[in-house]
Amino acid sequence: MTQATNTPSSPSATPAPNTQAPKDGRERWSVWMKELPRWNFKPEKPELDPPTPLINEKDLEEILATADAETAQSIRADIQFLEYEVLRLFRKRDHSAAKQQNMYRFYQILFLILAAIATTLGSLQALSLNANDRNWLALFAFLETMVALASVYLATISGREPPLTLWMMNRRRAEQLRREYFRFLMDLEPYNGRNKIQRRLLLSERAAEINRGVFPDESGIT
Amino acid sequence: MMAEFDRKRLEVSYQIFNKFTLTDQSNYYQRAVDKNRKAATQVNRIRAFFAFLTGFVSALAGLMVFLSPGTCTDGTAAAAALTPSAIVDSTPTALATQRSGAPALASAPATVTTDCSADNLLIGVLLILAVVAPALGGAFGTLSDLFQWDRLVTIYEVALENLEVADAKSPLPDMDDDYYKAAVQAFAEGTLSVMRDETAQWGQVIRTPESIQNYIDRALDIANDATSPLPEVVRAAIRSEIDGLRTATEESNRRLEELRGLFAQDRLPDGTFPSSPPPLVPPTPTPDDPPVMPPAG
Repeated sequence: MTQATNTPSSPSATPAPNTQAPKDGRERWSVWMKELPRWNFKPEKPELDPPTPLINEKDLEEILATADAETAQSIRADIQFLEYEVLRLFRKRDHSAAKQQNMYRFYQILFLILAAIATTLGSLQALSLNANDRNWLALFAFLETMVALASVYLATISGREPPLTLWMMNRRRAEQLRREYFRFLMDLEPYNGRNKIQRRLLLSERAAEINRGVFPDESGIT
Repeated sequence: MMAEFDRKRLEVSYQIFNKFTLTDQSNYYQRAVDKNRKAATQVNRIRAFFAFLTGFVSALAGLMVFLSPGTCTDGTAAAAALTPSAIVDSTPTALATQRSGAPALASAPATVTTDCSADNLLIGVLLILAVVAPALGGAFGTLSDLFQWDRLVTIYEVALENLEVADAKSPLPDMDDDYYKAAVQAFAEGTLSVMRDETAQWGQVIRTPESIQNYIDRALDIANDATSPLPEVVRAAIRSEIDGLRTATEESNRRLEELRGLFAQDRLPDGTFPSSPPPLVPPTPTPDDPPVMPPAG
């Protein structure tokens, strides 16, 4: 699954995939820390993100240079059509998925910190049972209640539009749009055996359906 | 009018798909395996460190208390450092205690006070570490559950292996046109199938760690108890908010289960979804249940 938060510079000799993610200034961090959510998710809107194609234009031209003019023109026309019909929707879904993923992890890490604080306070509270001064017991109980209230506050604001649900919904749609992109380009089912107009009409219809959460069959996949 | 890709178009399409889908996806999986494995290793080491630190400081604190000669000059036991009041109130005055059994030292309080303070301060620090270290270790354990690094390594490794199978179906230049076309389709469908399966498995892995959900439930209970002395109007408002939260969370869980079903495409023949795992939130209180918050007074 290509996630938009994937960083292009992982500690591997493997070539970087054609990722949607820009460099994020965390290149020198430990690997697990790179996964931590960001306080300010950027860009705020997908339109502000530089449009990264699924197919690198320079590499594509290298391949098309070996093809005859008619074939090259036909492929360019298909890719141009896909740019509006599929990639436009894909980028929005991909961006939303990445944003909700960041938000989900952000909330979960806040809960995690609060839970660690509550555990520490609970331990101190238990120890304070032996203290001569009972005020410590009351103080730790008060602090633990404050942590619990902060957790309830966080649960309330994160429960209105649950980011996990939105993350998964958007990611599923983005990934299927991506597969549809290559399905059309490769003339797989259900696009094979149709003329140019029919293929394009079918693609527009299927992309719109996927974007609204109605998933057409990937009939060629067994 | 039917239109089929001719041989030239198929050959170029194959090159494009091979480079921008199969190879790109393969690179992504390989990097994901490396990244997740490294992250899992790093966090595992941190957890092991905190587990070791907890045991070590606890044992060391116990040893120091055992070796402590008895009481200090203010009459308190050296082990009194184990109380939170000693930990928190570790001011020089509070820690100005003196070892017993050394009456000759009473004439030199400065020296004796320094020694006893250092012991108590050290025991206090060790005790704080013994309390904080397991909490931090637990937090890293939950972090590991949240990111699921180990399980993602397995998913991506399997996807890589399956991509090799799809790659094995790649067409050869010597094939005749029909054979070539069938090979290109099998190769592309196989690759897309791997991508779809990987997405479905990934969707099944992502879920809220149980420990975080349990903590939220406990926090809700504590908040309920803490608000009991409030006026009825305020309590009703808070009760309403908490009920709303429960309802929203249940709705969220329901939608999530639907999505999981869609990811895995595992609908039963009658169109319903298989039985879900236990809900992530406590069940909505029924009229027979005791009230969430007892009345004031």
